[in-house]
Amino acid sequence: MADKTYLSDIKEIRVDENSPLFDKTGMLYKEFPSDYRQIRYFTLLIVQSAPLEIKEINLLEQQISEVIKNGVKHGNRCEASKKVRVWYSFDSTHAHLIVQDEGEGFKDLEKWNEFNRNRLEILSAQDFEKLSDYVSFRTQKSDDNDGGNALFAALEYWNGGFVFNEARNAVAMLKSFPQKKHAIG
Amino acid sequence: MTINTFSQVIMSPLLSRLSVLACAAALFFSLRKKDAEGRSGSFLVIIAFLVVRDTFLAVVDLPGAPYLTDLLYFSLAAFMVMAPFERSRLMLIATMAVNAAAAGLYVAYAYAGVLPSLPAAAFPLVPVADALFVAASGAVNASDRGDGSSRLMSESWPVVFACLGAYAAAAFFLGYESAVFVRLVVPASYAWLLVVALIDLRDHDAETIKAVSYYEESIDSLYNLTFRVGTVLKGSFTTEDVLASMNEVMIAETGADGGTIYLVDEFDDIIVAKAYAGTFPPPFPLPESLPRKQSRIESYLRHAQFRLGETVLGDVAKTGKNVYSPDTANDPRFAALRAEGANMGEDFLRTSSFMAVPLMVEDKIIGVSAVARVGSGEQFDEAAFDRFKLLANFGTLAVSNFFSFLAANERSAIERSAGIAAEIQSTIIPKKLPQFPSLAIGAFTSPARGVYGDYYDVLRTREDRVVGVIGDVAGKGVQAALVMVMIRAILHLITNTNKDIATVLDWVNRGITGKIDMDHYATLAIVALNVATGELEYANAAHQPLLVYRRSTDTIETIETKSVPIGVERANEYRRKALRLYDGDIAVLYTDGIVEAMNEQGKQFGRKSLGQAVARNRDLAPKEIAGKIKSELSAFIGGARQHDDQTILVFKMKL
Amino acid sequence: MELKIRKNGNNYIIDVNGEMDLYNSYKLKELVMKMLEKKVERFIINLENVDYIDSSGIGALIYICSTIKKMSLKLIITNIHGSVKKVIELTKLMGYFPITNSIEEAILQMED
Repeated sequence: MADKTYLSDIKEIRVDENSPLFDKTGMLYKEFPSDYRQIRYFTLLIVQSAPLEIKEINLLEQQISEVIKNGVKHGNRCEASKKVRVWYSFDSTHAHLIVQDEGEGFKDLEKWNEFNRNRLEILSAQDFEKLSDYVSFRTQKSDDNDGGNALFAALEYWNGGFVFNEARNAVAMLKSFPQKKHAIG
Repeated sequence: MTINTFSQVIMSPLLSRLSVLACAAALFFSLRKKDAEGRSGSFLVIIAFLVVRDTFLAVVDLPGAPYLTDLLYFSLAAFMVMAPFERSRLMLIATMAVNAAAAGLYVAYAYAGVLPSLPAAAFPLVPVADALFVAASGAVNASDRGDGSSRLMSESWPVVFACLGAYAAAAFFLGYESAVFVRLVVPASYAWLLVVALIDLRDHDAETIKAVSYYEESIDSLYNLTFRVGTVLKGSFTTEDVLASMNEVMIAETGADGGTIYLVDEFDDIIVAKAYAGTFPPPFPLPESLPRKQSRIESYLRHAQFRLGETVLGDVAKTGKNVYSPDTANDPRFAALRAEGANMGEDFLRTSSFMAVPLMVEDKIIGVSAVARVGSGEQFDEAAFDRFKLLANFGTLAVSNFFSFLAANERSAIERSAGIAAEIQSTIIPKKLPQFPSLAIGAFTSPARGVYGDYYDVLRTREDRVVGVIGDVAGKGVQAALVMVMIRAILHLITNTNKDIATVLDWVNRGITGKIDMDHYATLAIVALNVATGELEYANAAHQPLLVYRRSTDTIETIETKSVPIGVERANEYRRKALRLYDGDIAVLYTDGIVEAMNEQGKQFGRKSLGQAVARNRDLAPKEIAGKIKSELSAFIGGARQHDDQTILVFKMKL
Repeated sequence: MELKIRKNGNNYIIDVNGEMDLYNSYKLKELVMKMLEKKVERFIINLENVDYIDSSGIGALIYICSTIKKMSLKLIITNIHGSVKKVIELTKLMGYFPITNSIEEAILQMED
């Protein structure tokens, strides 16, 4: 059983083949064809088994849909024959997910980390002029429908870690939820 | 020392003294119930002492005893009068000391012959001095009305002084033997006890009256609040309407210039402004970018949001502590406001008095209510703060009842819809499966959480044709049930045609797409069987592949097609596969929940185990095969939870 | 997702109803572009009835925001709540987008 309290540095995406987040014991499994039109449907099939209190209305669903979209669109290039494989495990204190595609991997990972580092520096300097250049990460493969901002939010949201494997075609993530929602004091 | 006879006792002034003391005692006894400070008890001690002393002296003539006991009596009385006051501490000690010294001296003088040159008249001066001390103490503390005892003594000291003074003066001038003294002055002077008791009674009554009028006013306010809030509920009501009403009452009943109510958000740790009225100067520094115009500030405050702990309002929402700042201008907690200067510049921004309380339902903080006064207006006094807290409690009760009503409404709506969904489903799940001499059909279905998400049906479309359907609708509830109904209706309509099964699926898809949300897509698998020939057609919309067990070779075939669920795209075209079943062959349709069922070790049941289970039970009737698979599945899952619906449909040829 | 337009003085309020996701966010972009062609200068995008937004939706808002800024026109986004607000916070764009809590404040702010 993976150690669910493993915390990572949230400022960059890490590559760690041996991360305990890749331990699949006890996780449910589903796989999907890489059909762009069904991305949200697949996400629903996964997130419907999560307890209500961690769904945060639909934030959990939205974050998962981004990762699956990346697998379908950027990893598998929307080729229906290629599969996206998802391992998932939910309870009231955590959400644990592993998404794997059959692509060549996130080649621009290091570029992304540098881009994000700059973005965060500009943010802390509150320089909104310069920020305009750093609100969207684009590669040659990005198209009009790519917001280029999904991973910024993902790094903040998955507070228990967000790591890729060596091949960079599988990503594991963990979010821990505090036990009590709203205590007095 | 002589003992008097009974008639002498009767003739003595004892009876008149006892009657006065008895009356006083009766009064103090009845005061004991109201008396929180225990002074009635002390007075009763003095009365008891006097009763004992007078009775004793009536019976026994002990020279010197009257004077000595008087010293003690005066000490007790002086104690009662002076003890409540800090300022009289020294006087009290002095009185006690003088009396003690006088007593000692007298005993020495009268019995041991000490200091014979001392005039006998000196001794009765001591009680006179005591009386004067009482007067002095009383005069000094005349305005001290701190607690009950102080108030009582400040009000009654003149009477005490008059009686004790008369007693002491008479003792001095007339002497202890004087009939006037013994029969008139002494009993009359006991009257101070009566008077003090009556004054105490009057004081207690005054307090009761004050409490009653406080409660009367509070009830008036509560009535006002309930009336206002109730009136809103009669009309069409939103949360904002109800809270606006409550806010207005809070402002009116506290005499505030303006007020606001914030509610804690259900899902986020923030408070959101829900009501705002009057002139409510913000008790926190405004954002720098906000122009200091009244309309802008009001607009900002009407929609403001804060995190828990942010600003004084967020702090109240987080900690649940009241904030009472009668004089905000000099309150160190609001120093930030003054320091900023910007807030204080404009008249309408100058908070002069401020109160905020949390709105609580049982132990949960659901919001904050705050009121304020502007400029140099009157400040909120303690009574206003009391009133504010009282109204906040009751107001929250009224409002939370409203919310509970809404929530209960929603819940019963959900339960109603779950009931409706279950009813719908019970009508569309087949109760009896058609059977043929050459084809037997069996099924089992087991929902994961009460309401089915799986759908299956077997339709006898023509003499020799039967269509079996199995499907899995995403989501639960009435919508999912309705999708099932739509699919079933369309199927029943079109399977009577001699179109092939892929076209049937196309038509179902076209009928459904656009009419349902993506969260109610359905996967569907259809087989059409010719019961006479064993010819089987199969079409699939993203469902689990068809499993076919071949009796002749004792093997399992998996028939699948790549496809999308029903409802995704109108123009989708589904493909079909054709094959033939022979005697003893078994075709199985099933849902995700069967092959993805997990045991406690996290292993999935899998298609292979399903195939093996079918093969193992190949000689049984389909109904029993389904039953056996069901029990194998339960055994496999063991203690783990079933997290998806499980449905299986079994066809067996008997050609 | 549905888009409705109403006017308040010179301000054009776009009421967005439904979810802004990877399948339909382009519609908002297209609408704003059309309105820009028609010389609209003041935009208030009301997200009161939007309870879901993903990176494409954020991307659309970013695109709209930067285009309008480049043309020196005015844009305010209002009534963000729930997970929409959370996503914008996670992406750290609260300071980048011009946001008010209500349409009322947006209209007042347009006058500045």
